[in-house]
Amino acid sequence: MDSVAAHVTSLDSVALVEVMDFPCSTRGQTEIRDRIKEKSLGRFVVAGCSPKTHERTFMRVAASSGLNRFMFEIANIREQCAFVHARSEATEKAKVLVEAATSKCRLLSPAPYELVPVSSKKALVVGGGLSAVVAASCVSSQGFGVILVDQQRILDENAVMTNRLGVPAEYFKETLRGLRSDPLVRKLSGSEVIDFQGHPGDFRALIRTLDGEEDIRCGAAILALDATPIPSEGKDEGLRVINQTEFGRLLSSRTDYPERIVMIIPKDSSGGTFGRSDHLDAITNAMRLKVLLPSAEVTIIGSDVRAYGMCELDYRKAQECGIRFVRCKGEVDIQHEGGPRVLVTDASSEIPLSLPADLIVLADVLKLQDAERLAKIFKIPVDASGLLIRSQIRLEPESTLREGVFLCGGASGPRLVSEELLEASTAASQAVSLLSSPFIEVGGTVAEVDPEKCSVCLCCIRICPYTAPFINEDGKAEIDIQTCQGCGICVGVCPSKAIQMYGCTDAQLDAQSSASIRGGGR
Amino acid sequence: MTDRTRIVGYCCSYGGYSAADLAGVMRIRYSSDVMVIRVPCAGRIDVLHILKAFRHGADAVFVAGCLEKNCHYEYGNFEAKKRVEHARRILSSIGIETGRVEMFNVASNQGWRFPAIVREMVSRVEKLGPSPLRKVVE
Repeated sequence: MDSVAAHVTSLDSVALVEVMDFPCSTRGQTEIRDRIKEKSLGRFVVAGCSPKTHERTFMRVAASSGLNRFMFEIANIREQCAFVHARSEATEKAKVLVEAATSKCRLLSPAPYELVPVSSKKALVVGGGLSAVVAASCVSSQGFGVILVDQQRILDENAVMTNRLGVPAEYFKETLRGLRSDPLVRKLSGSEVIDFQGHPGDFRALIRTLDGEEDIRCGAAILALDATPIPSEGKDEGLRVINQTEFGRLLSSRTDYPERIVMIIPKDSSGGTFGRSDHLDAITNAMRLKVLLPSAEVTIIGSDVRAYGMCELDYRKAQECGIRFVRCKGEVDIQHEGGPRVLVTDASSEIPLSLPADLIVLADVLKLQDAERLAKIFKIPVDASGLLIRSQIRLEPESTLREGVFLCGGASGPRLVSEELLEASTAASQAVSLLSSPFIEVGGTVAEVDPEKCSVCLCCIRICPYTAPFINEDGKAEIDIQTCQGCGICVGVCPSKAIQMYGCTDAQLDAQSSASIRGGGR
Repeated sequence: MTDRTRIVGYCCSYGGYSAADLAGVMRIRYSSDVMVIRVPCAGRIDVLHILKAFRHGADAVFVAGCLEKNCHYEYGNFEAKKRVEHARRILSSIGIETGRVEMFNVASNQGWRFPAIVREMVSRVEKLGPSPLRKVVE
């Protein structure tokens, strides 16, 4: 350590070098603070642990020492040096790492930083289905206002209930009842969002209601879009082919149940995007029929059965109560002449089967309502199959690239009802944690345009994942620091080199690479 | 100017840099010739940063971003890939082997992969020898 310290002392513009045991401890922090004040230092370098774990600690130290909270640099001489190299090599490398950090630190400039108040404490929930209802009730139960917007009649039991299989009816009815009388929830039926602007904590949504357009302020937004089954065409033509949702409805509305049923589970339907509950729908409905009409013959055809988790138990029960499962090979054909029948080849015996059926039940084909239009308005990217993209599945589930806008329901792909319920409450709690914080931190390592150099080529506007750059009144690109997430993609792409970002300018990177290569005095 | 091999690794904070940290926590040894420079996203890297590292005397340069389709900033790693390709074309036009520049995609939990990347780059430099630009730099 002493030889590293000696090397650093010899570097340009280094005023003070101190060897400390634990700069991150309370004592260490106080010591740094005292030295900064004593010697009126303008910036500092910490040689120690990874910035990934200790950056925030030293930000606080800088801020409480009267410096801008970004005026320091960390040289990672622990995880990326002492832990992985032999002793003498590590010492030599540490010298270079500290020198590189010092040469970058020399070029740091105070980064913008402000606390923006969360001025609107309401959440906008778009959608009228299961997940919208759950999300709205979760938000309001924590004391925050909700504006519920849907094109249909909101809180219409029938519209929501018949949406999907496997909705826990009692729980759901109760939630609906609660929402109807909830003074915190404003319901806008037959309405749609036509514009959405602003920042997390202070969004402005323009909503077309039945009585005209209305400007609404909200702090967060939840897109609770529901995928609804497309009605099967077979019914109208008098053919006996329907989908699982229609079959489920038939089971609860009629008493003359069909005797022979063949259900077909598609191989990954439409590229695997909308087939998540196909298997469970088939098993659930088959079991319901078996309970109502024990003599019914039910065959489920599929290339495999994916009844995961606890649903495996249902799968076993279904087998035990006499439902036949046929693992098929190749195509499944439906023949209508002389009574409907299904032609299929059994995979294990390779014997072709011809199964007569009173009713053929296909999997639901789900479609997201209005997703693409809303994605455009809320500026959320969609993937190739038209689903909205979530940003951080692991760290911030249900969040989108637009901060303060959350997704649930089928917005980003097919879900089981149980998953939808979970996601709706997750989205709600994320929205609530935003609404409940008094301020949002803004700024830091953000990008900034030099209007003198900007040639208005629009490269940054096209490339930014967060739509942070815009053309300002002077006709130059400008980056909204409230939206900027500090990735620096625009900095790299700008052909005029008009964009720089705090804490990672071209000059800083250059100084760092120069010192990394030539440094260490060897 | 040192005659040691110098490899510069521009590592994105969420992929490459985190993997390097994890390699440290796992105590996997690797060559100390590699110098990591942390960037918020691989997409921050410009062709210039790669070229300038060679001008400073680097023997090889790599960029380590998040796994494809798993970039913390959505598609920064794809941008980086394009720029690395661009830098390779420029370098090859002045007679520098393209093998000295590479783009890697690493996840933060792939601690073992970072030392593997370093080994790969070190063995490439062993094969190719010091960068021809070093003489010019000196």
